Amino acid sequence: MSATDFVQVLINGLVVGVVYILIASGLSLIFSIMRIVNFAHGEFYMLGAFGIYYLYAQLHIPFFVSLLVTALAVALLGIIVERLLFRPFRAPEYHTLNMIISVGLIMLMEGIGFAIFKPVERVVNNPWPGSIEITSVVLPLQRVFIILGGIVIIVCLFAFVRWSKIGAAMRAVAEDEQAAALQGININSTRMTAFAIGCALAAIAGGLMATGIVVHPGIGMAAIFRAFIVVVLGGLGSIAGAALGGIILGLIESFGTYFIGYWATLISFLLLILILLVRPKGLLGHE
Amino acid sequence: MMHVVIMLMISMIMAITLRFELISGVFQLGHAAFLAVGAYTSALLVMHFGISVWLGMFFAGIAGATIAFLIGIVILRLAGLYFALASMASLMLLQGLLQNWEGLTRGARGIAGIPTLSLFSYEFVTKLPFYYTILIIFVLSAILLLRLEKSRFGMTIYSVSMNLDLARSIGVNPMRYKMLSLLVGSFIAGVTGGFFAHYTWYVDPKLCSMWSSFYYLVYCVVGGMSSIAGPILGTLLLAGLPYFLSPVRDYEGIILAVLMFAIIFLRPRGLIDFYSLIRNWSLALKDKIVRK
Repeated sequence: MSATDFVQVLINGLVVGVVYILIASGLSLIFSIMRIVNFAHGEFYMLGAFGIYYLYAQLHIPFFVSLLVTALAVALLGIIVERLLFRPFRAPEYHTLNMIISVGLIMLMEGIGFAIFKPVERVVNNPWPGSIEITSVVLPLQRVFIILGGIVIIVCLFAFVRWSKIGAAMRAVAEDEQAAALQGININSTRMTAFAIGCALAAIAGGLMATGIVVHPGIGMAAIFRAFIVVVLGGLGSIAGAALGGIILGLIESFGTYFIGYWATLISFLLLILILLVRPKGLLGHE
Repeated sequence: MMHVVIMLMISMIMAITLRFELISGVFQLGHAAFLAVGAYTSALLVMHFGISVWLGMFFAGIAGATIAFLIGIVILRLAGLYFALASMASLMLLQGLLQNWEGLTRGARGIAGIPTLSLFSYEFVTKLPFYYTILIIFVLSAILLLRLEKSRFGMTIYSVSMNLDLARSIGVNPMRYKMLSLLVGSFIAGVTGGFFAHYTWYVDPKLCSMWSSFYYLVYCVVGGMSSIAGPILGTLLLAGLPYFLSPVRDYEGIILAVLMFAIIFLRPRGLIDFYSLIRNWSLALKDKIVRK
């Protein structure tokens, strides 16, 4: 493995890792506040990719404007979904049912996706052609932008949860819903905000990823399994954990694929089981 | 039409065994794995060693239970959600193995030309004998599961799922009961897988998919978990419906999802709850008449 190869594989791993972090931190946020394992999270990622395809690639709206509009639209959709499907089943006895509802939501969203977008593979042209050269190593600008953009968003999310008032309310609800309600925190609106933010994060991940992959109504399912691995790796409900898990999984997949090809996917599932056994609460999780 | 009935029976067996595991507190998200393991085992044994297909189906059950034992011994001690995720990961792991272990499983192309079932040199060609075979498997497993549920074993698993600490305090070892119910469920699923292989004459790694496992879970929850009739009803409705939806095939997923949401909203405890609703009405009606 030459130095150029190494950097190339490393950059690929980081790109994938950053995208995993975005999906997984949304999943983690939704889980810690709503106690819902949202299997349909990948479908919001799929919608994000299609948002970029239609707004940026078809209508030629500037990339970051398209991304913002897509994220807002998907967040709005998230609010509607939360109101209609999850809020009626808030009681703890419905935890399993919520999981089933999210499975139904995959069927619904994927079905609608295939009906509207048709099972056609689409390509979004690269918004940032060109590359920067550091000594002999070539860094494509597109990858640099995805990594930087992802990092900025994750830092913003982290700051939001840590220092804003809504973030504090979220952490309180995650800790103890009843106690939070007694302090006057509006549980319903906190849950709704968390769900909307989670969906927007998935959409942003999809939008960024759309510049590098084939866009297709079925991409949500592949994304969601990776997100689960990342979340369990880092610890359910921990954003820092999701960040660590995302980088680890991205690098393992990237280097694994370089050395052993397809078997690398198996390693990630094996890793998931191992982590669950050795440290069920995840690397940075806490009960 | 016969084909539809046979496929529905297979799904029903999978759903009732999954329900049995669920009520024992085994939150299984990888139930399809045992069907796939059974199908591959029976196909490979019969094709390579020429053993009888019926023996192959028996070994399919044994293989399903063995895999379940190996997975269970590792992940059963995980609680609730973590177990669910780990069972999902083990299914993905198995699917990856089936896809990549070219030498044994012929990879993604699958295994074709699996011998059909035969009884005393009478080869099953028409659907009817297959139907009777799966009917026998279905009835036997339903009786077994019902008997188990009514027995001391069933009482114990109820106590475990209702109050784990209390059950522990009177000397119940929950792990043992969870493992037993996992073994029973996976054995039946394995036998069903063996039947599937000899019925369709073809197996491929898609058998071991997340989607089929999801679907079995959906049948259980939509049908209702309070009795064995629940998963059967759920399967009949949700798995049977798509066969009548072929004119609107493209919208199958949407229609099923909307139907599912409608049932969940009307009866969160499943279709089976409609029965108690009707019974309550009729009781109330009777009451009124008697009072008059």
